[in-house]
Amino acid sequence: MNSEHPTKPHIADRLLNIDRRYIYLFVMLAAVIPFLFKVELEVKVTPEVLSIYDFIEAQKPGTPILLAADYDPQTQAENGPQAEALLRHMFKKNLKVIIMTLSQDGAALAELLSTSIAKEYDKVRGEDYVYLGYKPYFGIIILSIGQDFRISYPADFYDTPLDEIPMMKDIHNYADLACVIQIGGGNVTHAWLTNARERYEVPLAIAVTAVSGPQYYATLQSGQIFGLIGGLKGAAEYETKLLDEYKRLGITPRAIQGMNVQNFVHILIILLTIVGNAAFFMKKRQGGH
Amino acid sequence: MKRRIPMMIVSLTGILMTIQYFVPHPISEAFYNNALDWLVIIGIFAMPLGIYSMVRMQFTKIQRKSKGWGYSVISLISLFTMLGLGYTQKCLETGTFFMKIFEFIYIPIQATMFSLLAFYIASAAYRAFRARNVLATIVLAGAIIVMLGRIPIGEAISPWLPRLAAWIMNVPNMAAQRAIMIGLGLGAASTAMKIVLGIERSYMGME
Repeated sequence: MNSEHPTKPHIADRLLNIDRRYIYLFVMLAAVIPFLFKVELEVKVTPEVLSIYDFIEAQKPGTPILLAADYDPQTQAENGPQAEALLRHMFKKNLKVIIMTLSQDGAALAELLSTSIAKEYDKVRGEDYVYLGYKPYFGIIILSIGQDFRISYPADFYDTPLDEIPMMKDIHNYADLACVIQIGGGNVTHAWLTNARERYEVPLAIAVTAVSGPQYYATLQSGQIFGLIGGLKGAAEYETKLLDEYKRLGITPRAIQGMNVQNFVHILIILLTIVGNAAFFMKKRQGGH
Repeated sequence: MKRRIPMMIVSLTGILMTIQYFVPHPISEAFYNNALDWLVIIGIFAMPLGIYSMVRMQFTKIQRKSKGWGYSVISLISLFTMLGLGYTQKCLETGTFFMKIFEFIYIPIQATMFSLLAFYIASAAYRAFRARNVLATIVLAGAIIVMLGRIPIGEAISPWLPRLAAWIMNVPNMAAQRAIMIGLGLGAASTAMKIVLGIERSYMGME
C-alpha cells in the first residue's frame, strides 16, 4: 500500500522559509520591551566624541559657535538627542550660539530645538543665541557665510535684521567663530567639509547618523574634522559626559534610554544572523542550495 | 551658435573660478562674491519651476485617472494647504496650526519611514547575510563585532569588543572609505575638467 502522506519539511527548510512577518514581530518586541525594564549599562565615551566635549568645555563664556542643525524628521531619533546634548552643553558654558539649518524639513525642528533648550537655561534670543532659519542651496549658503552671514541671511528667522541683533554685532563670517558643529549627514556634510573647512579653514565637527558614521572616520584621522558623534550611541556618549547636568535639569537623557532598545535590537539581529546561517549550513549538508 | 555660446560661458566661468580660487586679491574676492550672488539668483528660479512641474504632473494624473490618482489629489491638497497656511500665518512659530500639522503628522510619518529600515535590516540579515565563503565570513564576523562593540552590552560582555570594533572602524573601514573618497574626488575633478574643456556636453542634453 502506498500511503500518500505529505513529507514533513525539514527544520532547515522551515527556518529558511519563515514568514518575514515573524521577524518584524520580533523586531517590534525588541524595540518595545526595553521600555518596560530599566537596564542601566555604562556607556563608554569614545575619543571622537570626547574631543567635541573637550573643545566646548575649553571655550570661554561668550565665544560664538555655529550649530548647523541640518537634519530632518527622518533622522530626528538619532540627530535630535545629539543636537539637544550639544546645545545644552553650549548654553551651560554660556557660549553664544548661532543656529541655522540647511535642511528644508529642518526649519521647524531647529526652531523647536532652539526655543525649548533656551527656555531651560533662560537664554534670551538675540543676546545669547540667534536662530537664522532655513535657506535653500546649501553649497551657496556655506560659501557665502565665508564672506558674511548677512549675504544669505540679511535677517534672522523672525525677520529681525542681523545688524539689529546685539549678539551678531561683531560676528560676520567663519573667522569670528570658534568652530562649526554640523548635525546631519549626506551631501550637506560634504559641502561643509569642502567649502567651510577646506576653503575657510574653520574648525569643524560633525554629528551624523550611525549609517553615515563610518564614512567620516577618514576625515577624522586626517584632521579635517576634530570630532565625530555617530548615531544614537554617540549621543548617548555625549549625554554620559553631561549626566550631572541632565540630573540637575530633571531630564531623562533620551539617547542613553534609547541605548537599551539598541542593545536588544542588535542582539536580535545577531541571533537572526546566526539562526539564518545555521539553517543555511544544515540545508547545505542535506545537499540543497 | 546656440550650443557654442553656452559652452563658452561654462568654459570661461570654470577657468575664471579656478584662477580666482588661487588669487587672494580684492578684485578676485569681488568677482567671487558676484558669482555667489549669481548662483543664489539662478538657484531661486529652480524652485518655482519645481513646484510648477510637480503640480502639472499630479494634475495630469488626475485628469487621466491614472493608477493611484487619488494620491495625486492628496498631494495637491497637502501642497496648497501648507502653502496657504504658510502665507496666512507666522507658520513656523511654535503653536501655530502649520506647526501642529508639521509636528503631529509630518514628523511621525517621516520618522516611521526611516524606522522601517530596522525591520528590513533584520529581515535581510536573516535571509541574505550568509557565510558562503571566506570573504563573506570575514564581513559577517566584522559586522557582528561592530554591532556588539557599538552597544553597552558589548562592553559588559568583554572590554575588548568595543576596542576591536573601534579598530575595525579606524583601520579597515577607513582604508576602504578613503579609497572610495579618493576615487570619487578624482572622478569629480576629471568630470569638471571635461565640462570646462567642452568634452563633456551631456548637461546640455548632448551626447
